[in-house]
Amino acid sequence: MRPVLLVLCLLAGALQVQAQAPFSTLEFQVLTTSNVNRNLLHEYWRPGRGGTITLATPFYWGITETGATIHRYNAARDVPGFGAFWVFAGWSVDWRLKSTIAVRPGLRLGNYRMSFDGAETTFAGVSTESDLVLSGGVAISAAIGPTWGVSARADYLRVHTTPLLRLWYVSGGLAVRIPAGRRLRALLE
Amino acid sequence: MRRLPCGKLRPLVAALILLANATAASAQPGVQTLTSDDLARAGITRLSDIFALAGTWSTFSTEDYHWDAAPLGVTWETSSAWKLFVDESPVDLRALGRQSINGLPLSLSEVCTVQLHTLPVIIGGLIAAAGAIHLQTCPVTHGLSARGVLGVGNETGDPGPWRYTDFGGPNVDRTGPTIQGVIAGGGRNWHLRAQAILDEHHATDPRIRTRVRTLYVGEKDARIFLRAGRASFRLGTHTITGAAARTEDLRYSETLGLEAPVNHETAYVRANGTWRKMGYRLSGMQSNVLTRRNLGSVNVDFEQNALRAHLYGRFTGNRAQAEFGIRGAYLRTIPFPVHNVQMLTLGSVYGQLDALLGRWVKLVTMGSFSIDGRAPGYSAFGSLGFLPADVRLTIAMNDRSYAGQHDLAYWLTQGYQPTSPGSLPVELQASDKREQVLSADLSWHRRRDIELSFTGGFRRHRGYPLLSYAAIYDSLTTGLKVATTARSIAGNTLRGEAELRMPLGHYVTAAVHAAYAYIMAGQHEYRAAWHQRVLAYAQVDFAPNPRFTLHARARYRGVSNWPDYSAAAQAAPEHYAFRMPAAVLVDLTAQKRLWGERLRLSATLRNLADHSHISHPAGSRTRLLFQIRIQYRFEAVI
Repeated sequence: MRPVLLVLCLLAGALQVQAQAPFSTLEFQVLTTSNVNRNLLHEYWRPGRGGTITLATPFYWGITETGATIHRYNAARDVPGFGAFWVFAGWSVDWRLKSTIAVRPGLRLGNYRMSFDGAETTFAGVSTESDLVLSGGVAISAAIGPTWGVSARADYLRVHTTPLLRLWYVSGGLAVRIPAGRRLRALLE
Repeated sequence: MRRLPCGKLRPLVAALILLANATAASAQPGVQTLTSDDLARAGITRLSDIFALAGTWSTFSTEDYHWDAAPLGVTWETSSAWKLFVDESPVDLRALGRQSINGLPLSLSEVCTVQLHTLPVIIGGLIAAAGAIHLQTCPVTHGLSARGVLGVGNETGDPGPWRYTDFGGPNVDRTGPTIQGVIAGGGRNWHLRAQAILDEHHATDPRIRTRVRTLYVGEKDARIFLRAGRASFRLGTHTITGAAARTEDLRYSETLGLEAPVNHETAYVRANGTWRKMGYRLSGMQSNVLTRRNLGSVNVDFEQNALRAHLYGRFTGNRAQAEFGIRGAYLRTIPFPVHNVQMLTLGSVYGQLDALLGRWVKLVTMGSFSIDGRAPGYSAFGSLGFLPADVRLTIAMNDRSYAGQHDLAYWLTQGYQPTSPGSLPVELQASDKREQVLSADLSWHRRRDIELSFTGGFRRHRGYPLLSYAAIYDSLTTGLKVATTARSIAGNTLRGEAELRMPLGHYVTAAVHAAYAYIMAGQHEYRAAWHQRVLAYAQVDFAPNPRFTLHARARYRGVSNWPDYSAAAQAAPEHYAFRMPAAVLVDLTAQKRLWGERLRLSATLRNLADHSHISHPAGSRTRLLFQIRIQYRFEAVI
């Protein structure tokens, strides 16, 4: 029920704040990412460093985005380490606190691919495994001039393994916004 | 004055006619029409996914790939009674008594409309007394075109990193990839179309895997793998079609209580066309179910060649249209372990009349006399519609030999005996060998902004050829030992359905549908065969922009009971069940068109609430499933 309420809140927000024409701009973000929470997973693996790239553009309502995060988990016990590749598509709304500062809450849906070091994970002998990720997060961004900006965000991920994998990621980095070309806009529309 | 480019308009006109037909059909109670847009909006990646949109069809599957389906009011054990049509031509895909729509060598991108008939209907000169699924392909556009659909899916619940700890379980089912491609070229008077399909499904649920691993040889994983191709050529009004499909299968056999490792190979050639007022449909089909090498001495071999011919004449007047035809089929079958070739000849003549009686009454009637093997029989259909009130009465009668259906029950009576180490001989108590069905349905429809329809009906079955099973748990293999009995049984059923469809503002349309079947009277086996009696769904489509849609659907599946599995469920409740609780399954799809009309992306979450659900007593547990569908379309006018 909580995700439904969250979507309804975001939708209400989107109705109020939609200002830009759909697909009129592209915003690239390059962020460094860390896994900050600790639970049962972290008794077996130590999170290493990671990075995120995202591409966002105004949608019919709100903002749509796509991107990927890579992250490393090193073995803390007698288990294989793994690299995680989270690819996602998302939707968020932009609430302007000031002309240069915006808060952007949103939802993401994606795939969490885990590549294990020198291990066969499945019956068929494959060393990777993919699972669905549903996540919610909030970003705060500040503009430094008309094009550049800085951004920080926090995301809560539910990776649908059994048992469920719950992760908190925090990220920070640079953002650049450019107008979308006519051709690209025609493609996306 | 400049002339209109008729050639270029032809595909448009054809599409408009199709759309008009679809609109008309969707307005009929007892028919659910799904357009290619509906399928894309709902993120359909396989033909069997259509059942997720079907309001009045109860469906069961062990591995979520082959779906036993039947309109509520008919049992799936006699699911062969409903008929599958492609462009008015009947198609028979049955293997081990089941018709799996995924085995059809037809790309989803070529399907323009799907009609799901829950009431008796006439299609292509045939009475489909127990309902029908009718797929209509898209006309080939003028010039060169290419289309493709790619679908992938992943069910949640894999262990992920937990595999290397004490907490991880086994992997769960994976859907796809499903790859379908079509290339076509067409002119004013001709077209050539070729299509190919690759589909893969991994059934890794522990309930299936433990059964399969004690049986299969040299296979790392329990998977279903389909390869299919189809080509058609049209010149004027004549079309010739050739198709072949091969499924490396793990087909669950109710008679054996296990997943038989088989390769199902089908191939057919079909020619159809019209000349003045005459028409013809000719086809030759080969269908072989061949058992792969296995550790359990399982053998379910079944080979069949069929030749079918249908000739008809159609005469149109001002207020009436009549059709007369003759139909014949010759089946050459080698069922295991009967190594003698068995011949079966079927023939029928029929007459059909569609007429407007006065201004307000529309009559559709048909009578058919048949010789099935050596047994005579008849079928009759009548539909009377009172146009001002949108009320329709449909009556269908059928009195034919079992041979007319030539389904699994019939072949078991002819000596077909699928075997496994634990299998028991089939007990035959089908003394009657004739099937008599009478159905009457009354429907009403209100066509306004708020559409409303009701349908109520009655089914009377006599000499109904039904297979019943007594499944006992085998702790050695975690499989079953099954005693199968073929009986002629009798019973009566009432069924009803209601639908409400309405717009909610500019962006939202909503629909609610419910169906119920009530067993009035019948033998124990007849009552037991109605596993499911209540189905309902609520659907909301949200389209803030024509190029972006959200589709949400909540399906309610009533409690289903399987008394045949009660002994096995009591012995091994972790592997089998005999009473499946009611479930609400919510699906959500977001769809976006890109690059003009060339690209369509959709992402679907099936069983969004992650409700652990089983649809068959021996089936896998369904969890939240994530699916992606990418559809590409390219068209160039030469």
